[in-house]
Amino acid sequence: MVSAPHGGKLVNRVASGQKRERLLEEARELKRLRITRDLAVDVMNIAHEVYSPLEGFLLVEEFQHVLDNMRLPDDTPWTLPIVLDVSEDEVVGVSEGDEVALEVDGRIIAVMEVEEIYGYDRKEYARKVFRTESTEHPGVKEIYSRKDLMLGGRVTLLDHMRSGFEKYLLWPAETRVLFQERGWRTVVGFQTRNAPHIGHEYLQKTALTFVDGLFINPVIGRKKKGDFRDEVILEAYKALIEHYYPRSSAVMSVLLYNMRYAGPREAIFHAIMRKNFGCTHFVVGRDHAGVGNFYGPYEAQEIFREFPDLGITPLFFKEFFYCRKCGGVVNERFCPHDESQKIRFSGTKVRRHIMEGRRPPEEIMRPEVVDVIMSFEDPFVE
Amino acid sequence: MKGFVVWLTGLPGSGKTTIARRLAYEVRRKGRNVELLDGDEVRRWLSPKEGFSREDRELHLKRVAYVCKLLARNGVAVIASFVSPYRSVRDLARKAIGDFVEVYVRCSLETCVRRDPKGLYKKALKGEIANMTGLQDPYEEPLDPEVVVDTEKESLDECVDKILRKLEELGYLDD
Repeated sequence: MVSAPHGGKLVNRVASGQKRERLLEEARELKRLRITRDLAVDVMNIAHEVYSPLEGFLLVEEFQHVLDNMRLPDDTPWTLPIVLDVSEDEVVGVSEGDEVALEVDGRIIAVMEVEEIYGYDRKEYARKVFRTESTEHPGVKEIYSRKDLMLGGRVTLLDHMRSGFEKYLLWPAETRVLFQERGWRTVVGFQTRNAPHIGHEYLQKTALTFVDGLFINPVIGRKKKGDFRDEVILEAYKALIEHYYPRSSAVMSVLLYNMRYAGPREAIFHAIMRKNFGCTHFVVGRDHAGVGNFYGPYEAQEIFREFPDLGITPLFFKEFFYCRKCGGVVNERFCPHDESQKIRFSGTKVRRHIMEGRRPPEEIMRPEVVDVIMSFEDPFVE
Repeated sequence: MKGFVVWLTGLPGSGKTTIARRLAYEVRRKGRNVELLDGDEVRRWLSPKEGFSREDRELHLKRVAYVCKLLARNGVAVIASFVSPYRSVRDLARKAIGDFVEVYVRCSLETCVRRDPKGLYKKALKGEIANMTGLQDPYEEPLDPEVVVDTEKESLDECVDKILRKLEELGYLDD
């Protein structure tokens, strides 16, 4: 059996068939609220089990609990606020209890029962979620650009926003079936937003030593300049899996999600999402979901101590590196040699090689993966 | 804990609602029971048939003041957000309620007309609605409100802080 969903039940709020037709018809009469593509991603994740047990955007009591306690009011661990921001102008004439239609790219994708409209304190939000109020932090900067009010309430998805990655997209209800078909009782989830170097591969394979299956789950979403483009990451992983993983032990599908860079809190959140996908274990490496120097390298591991009831087992790893003396990939737990023997893996190093038109060495990245990356004219986000 | 009423008054479009919701969040966080009474929503229930003549507005606001009084005397922190253009009616509410904190949400008419979140000014200027406060109907500025916030000059944080400080000063946020 794969893991139980977070909060006990897998929440699906996708309308289909006649119900969908009826709701779409009704939605056309409703007040329309234009939302960003980022928010539409959250709507889809709520409706499609990823954010179970949430049924909608947080109500004020839930929001406050998440900020203060990293839990929902019923004590279920929940570390990131999933909220929908609006301005006063956008909700003129909308009363608590009304329904609104959520529109993205000119299309209605969902209806929302507006249970609450509430104000919030941006600085408090930043301080509690990101542990800083500095606008140097991309997550804080994003929060500071949000509108003044929040809408809380349940959503029902009527249509999907197109992502361009439908081919690689599986929802938790689907991965759970997939894992079961594979006969996996234990599955480790791997979160990534990078093309895989040898360090990633060793994290995954070391984790795989202890469990039946590996679920590689790259995140597709907002990117920073200089990041690998989503297509590159996917193709690179396909090459890696094809050449270096037994077919029976690894699967990959993507997750539509925008990184918040909330470090420790986000590491817990990443684990929760993977628990909903059916994972029993989750890899937490160095500076998971961190950015700049805002979090200590292993803070994202330490926070798991506060969640003995999480329902998914974190697997903590120290950083892997190549050691010339050992003649292989190791980490500081079992390699005694000094720095001069070590070749560190880093995305930055890989990027520099590729930008200069040089192949990263085989100690750092598999040749098949390098081939794929080099085959793209512009592998990086402009 | 002592109940009280924060009464936000100001032109349509001055930003009362945003301030009211944020204030509700902050006061609730201090462990208080908060009830938010906001313009149109309350009108729908208390005065569905009344319009916007002076008599109707007065009647409506008297009902609102009465509800505020009932809530406040039971320890609720009430945040009332209404254009409430007439000085006499606001004074009446003050007398009836007692624990009354008047907040003038100031904003120039030009800016309110430009913001026009409900499209009301536009309609009024086209002659589609009469009795628009600020245009056909007068807005009587408070003479001696407990707090004045200026949404053109002050940020939302500053406006809310100012009101909270006054509530503290008046002892309404004491345990």
